[in-house]
Amino acid sequence: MKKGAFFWGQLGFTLVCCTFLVVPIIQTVLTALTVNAFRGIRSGFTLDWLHKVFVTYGDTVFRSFYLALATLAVCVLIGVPFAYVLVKAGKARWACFIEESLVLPLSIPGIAIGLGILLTWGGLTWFRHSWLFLLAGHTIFCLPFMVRSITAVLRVVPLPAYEEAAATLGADAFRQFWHIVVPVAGPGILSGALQVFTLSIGEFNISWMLQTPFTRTLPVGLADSYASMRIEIGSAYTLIFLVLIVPVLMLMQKIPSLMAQMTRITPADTPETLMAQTSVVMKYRGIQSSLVPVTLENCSKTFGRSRVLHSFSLHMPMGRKIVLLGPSGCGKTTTLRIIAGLESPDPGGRVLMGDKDVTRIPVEKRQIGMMFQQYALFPHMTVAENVAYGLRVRGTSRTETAKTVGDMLEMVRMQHFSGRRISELSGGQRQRVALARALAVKPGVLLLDEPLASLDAILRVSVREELDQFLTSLGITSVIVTHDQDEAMSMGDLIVVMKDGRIEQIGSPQEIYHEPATAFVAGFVGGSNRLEGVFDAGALRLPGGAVIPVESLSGKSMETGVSKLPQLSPLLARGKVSVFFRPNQAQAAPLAPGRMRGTVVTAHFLGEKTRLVVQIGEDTLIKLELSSSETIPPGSEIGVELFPEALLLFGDAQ
Amino acid sequence: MRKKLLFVCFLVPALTIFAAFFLLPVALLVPQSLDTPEGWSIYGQVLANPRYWSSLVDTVLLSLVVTFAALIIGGMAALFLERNAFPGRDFLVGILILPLSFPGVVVGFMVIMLAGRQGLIGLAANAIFGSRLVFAYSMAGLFAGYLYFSIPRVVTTVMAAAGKLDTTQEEAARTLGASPLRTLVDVTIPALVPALASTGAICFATSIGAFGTAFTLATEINVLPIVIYTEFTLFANFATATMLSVVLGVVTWLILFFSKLLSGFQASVSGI
Repeated sequence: MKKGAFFWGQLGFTLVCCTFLVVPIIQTVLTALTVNAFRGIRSGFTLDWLHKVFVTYGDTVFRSFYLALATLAVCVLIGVPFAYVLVKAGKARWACFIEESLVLPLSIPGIAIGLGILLTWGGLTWFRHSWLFLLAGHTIFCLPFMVRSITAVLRVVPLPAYEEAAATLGADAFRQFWHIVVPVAGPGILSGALQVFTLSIGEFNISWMLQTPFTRTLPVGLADSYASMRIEIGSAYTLIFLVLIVPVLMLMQKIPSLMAQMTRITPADTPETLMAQTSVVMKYRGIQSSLVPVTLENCSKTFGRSRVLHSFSLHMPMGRKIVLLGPSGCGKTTTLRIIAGLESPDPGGRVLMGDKDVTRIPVEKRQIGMMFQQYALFPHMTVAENVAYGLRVRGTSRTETAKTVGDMLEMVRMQHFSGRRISELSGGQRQRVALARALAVKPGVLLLDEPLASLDAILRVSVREELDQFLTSLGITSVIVTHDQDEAMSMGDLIVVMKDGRIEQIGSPQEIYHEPATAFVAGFVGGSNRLEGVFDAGALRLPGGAVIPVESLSGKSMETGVSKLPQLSPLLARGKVSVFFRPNQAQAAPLAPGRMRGTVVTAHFLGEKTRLVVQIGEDTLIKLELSSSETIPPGSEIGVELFPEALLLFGDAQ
Repeated sequence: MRKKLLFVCFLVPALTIFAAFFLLPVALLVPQSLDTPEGWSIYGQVLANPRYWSSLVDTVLLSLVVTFAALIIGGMAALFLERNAFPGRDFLVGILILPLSFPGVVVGFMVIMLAGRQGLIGLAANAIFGSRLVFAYSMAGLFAGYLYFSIPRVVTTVMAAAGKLDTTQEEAARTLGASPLRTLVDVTIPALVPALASTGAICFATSIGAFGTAFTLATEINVLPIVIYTEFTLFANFATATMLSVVLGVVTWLILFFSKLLSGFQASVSGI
């Protein structure tokens, strides 16, 4: 890009700005080293002034240094836990209020704060005369910076997921804080520490009010030296201050790039197909001892005023893959979290693992394995450390931990990645590490929250097949939450379809697909077409002029052999019904009386079949899949022949 | 629940220190200031005193002017440095950020270096006009000092905010026919308003309470922090000193409160 007058103008302006800031600093440095400032640098250079300053004011330099370190220690000690609680409290009113008042020490001039402290606590003579008096003032001044720096970091990382992951691996509240929160907050603590250190070293306003002749700090000494009218002394003293502070400032400039590293997100994945080696899985199975069935009894869950789960009861047999399927907000994740112990059911609900009532047992003691949607791998630990974490909090011996971690990584074919950082892994690799971490503690049940949602669409299908094989070969009781019906169909032994906190249907994939119990299930699973029909004069009338005699409906379903007759009679009385059929359960046919008539909107040739979108009547679109490769141009009028035996009828038309 | 207990244990130390060494002392300033026979009427009397009143007006005006000057100068430099890559850019950024944690007294000394009796500006003026220009110990010197510590604050905040801006918005404006200047006025600057408001608030709060700089440069200029200092130290006039502190705190807090309505208050490194 060519640089025009605009660029050079701005550059010139910026240079003037920099000159204004940097010239006095250079002057100070030169003056400090010059024999006589009045005669300029021609008078020669000397270190005498620095020496003189050191003799006169050396104590203030050391005092300020120690004071800054003490302030830093106090700010870290009380600031980190404090910031953590503030972040955890989130939008709670008291937390917002406290956070707002943290700004106050910055908005009230230091001289006023100093005066207040002096008048309130100055009466305690021992306190007044000790450096602790200054420490109190400096802490008040610096603490807000530390707290803000930490909360800023903790708010951009998925902290709750990390903590919950640690909890499912067996860490109690304090360990979650010590092992996870503190290291994750690392960059924030570091940045806050540098700020606190520089602020404390340079603090003047409060210190001036609080100081005594025995507790003079560096800036107070500086002010004194400036008043001494020897400009060389002032300069030399300032130079010492600069030497103390500039390295810290330079470190501070590196912080943003460090932060960026922490929150880096790896881009899309390349397809990869590696999963369990059967032999290793068998080994895992051999050491597996605590497989249990899981039962939920009468579990309700209310958040505030909204009830997301209604008296939910479900038995999950041992060693089976159970899929909780439903649209978002149906309560499936809440159910999973209740099983894990991350949520507790409303009073009256019970969670059983085997025969044992675990309702009151906290998550870290439940011996479950959970894989989180975004995996919640700890960013400050390597792959191996992540997998080892559950064993570490259980106090497992070092050799045994190393062996288990090795087995686990081998099982998911990640043994060559054990020393890697999480940020260096692809999405599929992360998933395998998350799986290994959840399994390392030999859980009785494995919980998977949307296991494939964070993966690339291309990768999803292949990983789905691998994961399914893997879970089947492990033989572990697993509960999978998903909103994707293809995922549910291909992975579940048992599918639980949920809606609005209630179970709509429990059954095998075949049952769910072929014999949906409700209109919701019929519509949600299998991409069905839905039409509103009316029973009138012994026939079912549908949009587009279709008339289907009741006799033909009452026949047996071709595919399942289940008689529909008993279900049909109550529907006949009600009149209105919802009618479902799948795109391949109808075909194009010539126009005829009593046959559905429609207009082709689009026709897509897909190789083995052709997919049509057909408009029926005013406002209904249906999909048809024709097995032939015949082409029907959009706009043409066609007849749609329905197979009466395949129609699914539900009276609960909504 | 144990987790709740842990949270309480985490909160207590910080809140205790905060209450003991901030809330209580600041709250006690009010009754202290009323510790005279006049009671509340002292506020009226003192504010009616032309010396105090003019010092309050001077302090607020000076701080406002410095804030706007720093926003314009620092904002332009920051935007330029954020948007252009050239050799030496990082060096310039380093220089602009360096004075960020200089205490007020050091800033004052920098002004003496620049505009004092041996200052570079004085020497230059002497060489050109034959007479020394010394303004370090006047209101102009104070202005230079406040500008000195305000520019780095503006530069850091605006650079961070400009770095997060979605540049496609500017490109969209260009494709719609806006000139670079028009784009700056219509798209970029409005997007930077929250950052400018918050950093402006910081500059203002720092300037109004900037005791160190004023202390080094001149005890003759009646900015409010200096008046408080002289009342307290030289005249041992506790009630007036605390009262003026209360006024200073309230004025600062009010300005910050209103700027917070404009934007989220973002604390940058402050502390002069």
